[in-house]
Amino acid sequence: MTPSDVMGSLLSAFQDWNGILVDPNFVRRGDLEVSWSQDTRDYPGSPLMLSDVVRLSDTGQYSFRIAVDGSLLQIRYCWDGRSALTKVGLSYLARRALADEPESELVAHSAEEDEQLAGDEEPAAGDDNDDDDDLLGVDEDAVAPWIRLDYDPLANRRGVLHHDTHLHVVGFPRTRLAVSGVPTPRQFVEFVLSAFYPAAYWAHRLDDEFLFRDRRLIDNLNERAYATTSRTPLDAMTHVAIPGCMLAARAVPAERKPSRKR
Amino acid sequence: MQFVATLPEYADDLASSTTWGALDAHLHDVEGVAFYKHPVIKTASGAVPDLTVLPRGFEPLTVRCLPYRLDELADCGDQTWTLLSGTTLESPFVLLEDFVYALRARLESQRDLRRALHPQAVVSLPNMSRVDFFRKYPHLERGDLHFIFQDLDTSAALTRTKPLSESQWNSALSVVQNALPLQRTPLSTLPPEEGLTIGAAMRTVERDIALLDAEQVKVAHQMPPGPQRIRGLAGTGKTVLLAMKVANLHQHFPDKRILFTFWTQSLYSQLTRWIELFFRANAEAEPNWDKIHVQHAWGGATKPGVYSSLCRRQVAPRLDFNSARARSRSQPFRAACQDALSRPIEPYYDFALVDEAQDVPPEFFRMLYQMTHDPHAIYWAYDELQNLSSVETPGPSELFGNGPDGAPLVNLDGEYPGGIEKDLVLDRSYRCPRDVLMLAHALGLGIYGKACVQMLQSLASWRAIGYELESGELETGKPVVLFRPEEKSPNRVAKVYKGPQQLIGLAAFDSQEAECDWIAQSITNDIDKETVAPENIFVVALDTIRAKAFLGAIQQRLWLAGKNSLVAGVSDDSSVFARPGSVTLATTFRAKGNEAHVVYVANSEMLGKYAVEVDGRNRAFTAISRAKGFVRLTGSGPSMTPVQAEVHSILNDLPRFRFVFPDCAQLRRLDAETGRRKKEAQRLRRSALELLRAPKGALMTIDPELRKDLAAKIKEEE
Repeated sequence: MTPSDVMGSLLSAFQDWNGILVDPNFVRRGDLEVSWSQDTRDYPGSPLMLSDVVRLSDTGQYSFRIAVDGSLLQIRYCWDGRSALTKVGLSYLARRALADEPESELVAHSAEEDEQLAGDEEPAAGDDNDDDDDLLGVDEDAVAPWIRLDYDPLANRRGVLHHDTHLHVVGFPRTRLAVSGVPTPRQFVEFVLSAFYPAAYWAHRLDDEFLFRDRRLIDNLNERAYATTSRTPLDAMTHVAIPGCMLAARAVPAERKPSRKR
Repeated sequence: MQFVATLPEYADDLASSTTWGALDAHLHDVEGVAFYKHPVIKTASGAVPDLTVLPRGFEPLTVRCLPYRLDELADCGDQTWTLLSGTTLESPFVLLEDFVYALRARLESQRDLRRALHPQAVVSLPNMSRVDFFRKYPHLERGDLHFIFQDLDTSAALTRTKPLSESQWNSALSVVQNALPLQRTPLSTLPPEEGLTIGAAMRTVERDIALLDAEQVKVAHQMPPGPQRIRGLAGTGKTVLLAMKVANLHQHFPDKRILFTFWTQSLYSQLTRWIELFFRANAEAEPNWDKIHVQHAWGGATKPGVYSSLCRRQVAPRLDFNSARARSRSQPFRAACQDALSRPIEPYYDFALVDEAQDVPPEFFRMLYQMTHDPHAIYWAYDELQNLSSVETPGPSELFGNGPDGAPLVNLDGEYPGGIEKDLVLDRSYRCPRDVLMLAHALGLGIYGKACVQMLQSLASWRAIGYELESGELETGKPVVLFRPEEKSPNRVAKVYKGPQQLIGLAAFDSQEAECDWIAQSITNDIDKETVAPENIFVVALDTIRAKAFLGAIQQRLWLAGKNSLVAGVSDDSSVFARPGSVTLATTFRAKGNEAHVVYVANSEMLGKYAVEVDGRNRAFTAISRAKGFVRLTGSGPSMTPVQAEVHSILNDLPRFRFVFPDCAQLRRLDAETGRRKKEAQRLRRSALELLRAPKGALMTIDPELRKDLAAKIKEEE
């Protein structure tokens, strides 16, 4: 997976998800990094608060914003200058409080239109009062939900407990869900939208029976994942599988630093 | 000469009013401005001159007016004066020295005023005789001090200067009005750019020295001891003037609590920035944000609001959005205010300023009334014609209600002591060029459409927004011609620009894709060839239902062309708008309160759609009135045809409106008509869907004549 591959994947995701992914902000820095244009390496403290997400949004710390609710996608890939991936961080930061119900998602177009045409009632979403959704919310800060997929082959690892590629989930600070490989930006977008915006995903990608409308598109999209090499026996453990990286568990282990003795 | 009393104390300050009377006798026909208790020029101890006078052709004056008689004075030293009663005062000479230095420094901060003006210090003792005073204090007869005595001889105080150029005079006025922070671009001695591109023309126009007109001076600098209403069109400067007022209030009353509230989220950062700018220009310090509260009327997830803060003080749970909507689906904020009003409200603020007052319900004003200490100094700015569904401004009794005795709590008749008006009207719109503003009005009201959707019924209302009756009468069925004088829209970009673009553009397309392609190409041209900065370009989508997809499509095209853009307030309360380097894509609601050099008004076919015409016209009005320069209307589909015809009719008649005055009784039923149309459209849509879903062969059961008529009707309407 090269910087050009990643840039192409980002552009492709943006074009594919017109009206869902907005405010593209991704940039390439030579052969070393693809990230976002005002990347200040701003790492909010833990826990991530809603005010942090607002600040990150207001200061352009994102690769995309999600139009449904203003949530952020931060997509960073780093190389060693010789086309080997050295680090990857893919984050989804939701713009809401953990305790709140998710924002209403895109509904079927006709139902929205019907609501607007109802006459004696103002529509709740999609019209001039659309920012009402965000009003009368808490004025105290709140923990915001997030996930982050990391690839960090040079960090200390603990085999089954800390695979090269792993997923962090809010609320479980020591948990690293093993992931079979590094997804492309398009794959990560697919994952986030399908997991957290099912109505929008269904409307855009699936048929009435919730199956892919265009299987070929999905297969093409999944062709270029980065299969990492590791000693971790993924074939023996429950993990998150990235399409295109199914065989990573059987790869030959790379040279590694000795792990710290207990 | 305009005289502005900033505080009502002027009415009781006989020394100052007598002094001004004497000066005014000589300066009445002289161009200039004079202030009582100007908030800007002050000493380190916080004292302000009683009078600050800038008369054209004379040196500026700072005047200290003292009411004492000679027999009340015990001693007049260099640093202090002592009264026989034992009171010690700062010497007026010391104070005046401070005032003069402060004023001189401010004037000389402008390059073209250096060595041009020499402010003078004047001590006014209107209750003392000149002869007696100098007999008692002969050492005070100095050349550097000017006096006015009981004889009211002002000749010594008024010293002629060399004539100033127009630019110098405007600079001096700008300083004394405290309008310098409004200067968009620093003044330069370099010649202005030729207006060959839009960007160059706008930069030239923005080099014009920022000045306040007479009404704006009053709005900004007067501090009324009670409610005051400020009305004005889009672009008359209400928001900035209120911010200036907040800064002045805070300077004068640093210990008082001031609330500044508004409705459009994207205003938040603008307002705090303006207040800081104006305050720092005077005080060279930061404002005390513990005393100034800038709060959205409701609040957001991470910013406090007036309602939520009040609930906290009431020690009561606030209604969340869903609960408020459960009480009133169409007006949840009104329900929230009613909730707050159901509990006792303790006064908390000394001053409350409300921007965008047309967007908040009367219950909010009633909350504010109880939240403010007597005399309830609530100043609200109402945007005339911002809300086209109710063009007449609601009266104070409608907003504040009545007291226990049945009398309105707030009365705007008359004026406060000192001549401070209770009701101010700003009729000059500085933002939009004349033709652009007139287009917004005409489209918004529907004057040239199939039928008017709303109308200003009185000549006074038309005059308040800057129009004159040229011929005819405002009576049902009678022809009318209204004219907008040039001075009511001073924006001169149309004269400065020498390039090929039209001030108002109109483009229709077969499809939204084609519309998006054109907009993206045109924006690329604006940036690359017309040298417009991206943050000075807005695209406003009138179709809010499909806005995300539409604006997303434009964003994609711009991205591919290498241009950054930002979809403003994407389902959030983000106050980020017009980020440097990015074109802003927004719905009308998000665009409110902002302005740009070039505004694209997309989905203009909404004006021609049956069920949503009124809403579309409201939004078109708001969108077009964001433009400081150029407007491009675009749209697609067959509904665009009548819109094109309407726009061409408007443009042909500018700067006039020619129309037959409508039956206003019919227009008052417009809200009901709009509701009826929407329900009818919904019913028709359901019927059409049923027809489409009918099983094969079922449609043939419909009577053939009826089938034929239906097909013909659809074809005819298309």
